[in-house]
Amino acid sequence: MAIEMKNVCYTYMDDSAFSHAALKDICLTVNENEFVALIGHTGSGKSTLISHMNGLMQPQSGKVTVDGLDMSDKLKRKEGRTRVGMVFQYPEYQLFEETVKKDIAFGPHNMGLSDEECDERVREAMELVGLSYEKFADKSPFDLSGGERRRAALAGIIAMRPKYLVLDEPMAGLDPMGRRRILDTVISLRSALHCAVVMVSHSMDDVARIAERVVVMHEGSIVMDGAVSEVFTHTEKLREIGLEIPTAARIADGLRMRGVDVPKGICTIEALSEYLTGRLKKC
Amino acid sequence: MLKDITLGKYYPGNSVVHALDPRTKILLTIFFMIAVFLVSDLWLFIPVTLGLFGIMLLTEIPIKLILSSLRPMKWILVFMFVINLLMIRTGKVLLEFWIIKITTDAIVRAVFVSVRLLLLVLGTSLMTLTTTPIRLTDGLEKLMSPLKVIKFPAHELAMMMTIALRFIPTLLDETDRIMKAQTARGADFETGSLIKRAKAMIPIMIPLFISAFKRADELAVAMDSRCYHGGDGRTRMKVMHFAKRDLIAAAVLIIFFGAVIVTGILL
Ligand SMILES: Nc1ncnc2c1ncn2[C@@H]1O[C@H](COP(=O)(O)OP(=O)(O)OP(=O)(O)O)[C@@H](O)[C@H]1O
Ligand SMILES: [Mg+2]
Repeated sequence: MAIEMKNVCYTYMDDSAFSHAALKDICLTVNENEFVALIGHTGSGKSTLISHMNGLMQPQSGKVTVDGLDMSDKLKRKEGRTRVGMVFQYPEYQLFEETVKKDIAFGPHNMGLSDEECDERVREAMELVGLSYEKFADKSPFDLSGGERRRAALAGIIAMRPKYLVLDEPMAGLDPMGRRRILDTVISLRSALHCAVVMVSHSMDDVARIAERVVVMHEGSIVMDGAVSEVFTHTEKLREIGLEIPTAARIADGLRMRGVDVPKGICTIEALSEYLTGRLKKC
Repeated sequence: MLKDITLGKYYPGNSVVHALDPRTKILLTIFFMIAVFLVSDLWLFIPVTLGLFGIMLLTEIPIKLILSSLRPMKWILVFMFVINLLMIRTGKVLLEFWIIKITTDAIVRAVFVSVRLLLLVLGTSLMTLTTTPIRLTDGLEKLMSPLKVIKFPAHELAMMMTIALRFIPTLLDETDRIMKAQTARGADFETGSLIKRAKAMIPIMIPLFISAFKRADELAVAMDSRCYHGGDGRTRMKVMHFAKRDLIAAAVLIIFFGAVIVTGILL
């Protein structure tokens, strides 16, 4: 059971002067329970790629299946969509209902659930994203702060209890505190719902901290795909395509150049400090 | 899906036609339209069409793309053709049954009207294909500015048009994005009764309006903070100049189409 993309190609505005190949022969499998980070320079096709994961965009050639459901089939697509929860960039702009409660219930309602079940899911989702039900449920979504609105939008997806949660830059435009909270929410969601997460992010530090697998995109192709500790050892290659490496990996690189043989594959501050304190104790 | 609109779209290029001053192009397009209206003989459309094709070649835009701007017009064309074919009853009768009577005059007239419409659309789309909307409105403003004497708000009108043109693609993008987001939440815009489908638009319209108002607000603040105060005393970054090529283009076109008109009147 997985999201499988096979030889997916997509060109924007095909057969016109402005045509632009956004995806070139993409093959990607996202397994259950996996945490995949999708990184790449701006315009590399990340958003286009994830739009294919729940059939919002149809590949011009190739095939996408979710748990074996062919996403080009209209009926199966509907079922597939409830399994893949999609949180777009700046999701707070999709809120439209009078109250937060009603807005979060929009997805579950569309799935055909009863009112009681919807309400239960709204409570659960709000708790998971850290919005108190008592305080926020009956407020208008337009009276919330930016960060709260983002969390309400996230709750709207979570309430559908997706098996795969796809997040497009969920932390964009938030302050460090807000970023931290969304990040913690994503981590706790994963353990609470046992869902797989695909997260697009420009913050290498966050990716290094929470992801297991990293997929690197460049000009519409997947150029690297592997464990976090493995991908971030290719410093040169990442630089070439305009990507940074996590701060800790950069420090480790600097130390290595100065003769400290820090092992490869360290890319979080925690791991680095653990290694260094261990080493200091030995001397 | 929302972006398949070719009519009135700019096609980037470096041809002579692209380089002409927008005012020249606007005035010559108007002149061309007048010429097309003054032509009263079907066979005189032959030189007009040839002239138009000559300009098309000069623009270096693929002919297929230019012709595709006619696609939205096809039903109007068919309608005009059929109406003229059926309404005109003078001339030699070619075909007659039931209440339908088709005459030679009717065929000539129907073809004439259709060709006229085709030429008008092609002529104007040549202008919009080779001129950016911004340059076009700049040109319009400049042309209308003498009317300021009678308190005609030329600058304001042009600014409003510029802003509207600037935000159409943005709003289309936004609609697309919100539609995707709501579809991901299980909204369904494609099936169900008309009322159900109209109701399904609410989750799109509300966020769209909210962000449009927000954008308008932000734009107003941004313009204000850069001391925008209307058109009085405002200078331009790119000042428009009539060049030699404008003179040549105008001379060639006026002589060519003028000759066609005069021939039509004399004959
Ligand atoms: N609607 C569209 N029409 C035409 N081209 C598009 C459209 N959307 C995206 N593109 C182009 O496709 C390419 C990939 O876009 P995409 O949005 O997938 O990039 P991205 O990796 O998500 O970038 P970012 O990190 O900035 O969000 C870009 O070069 C973009 O210009
Ligand atoms: Mg993106």
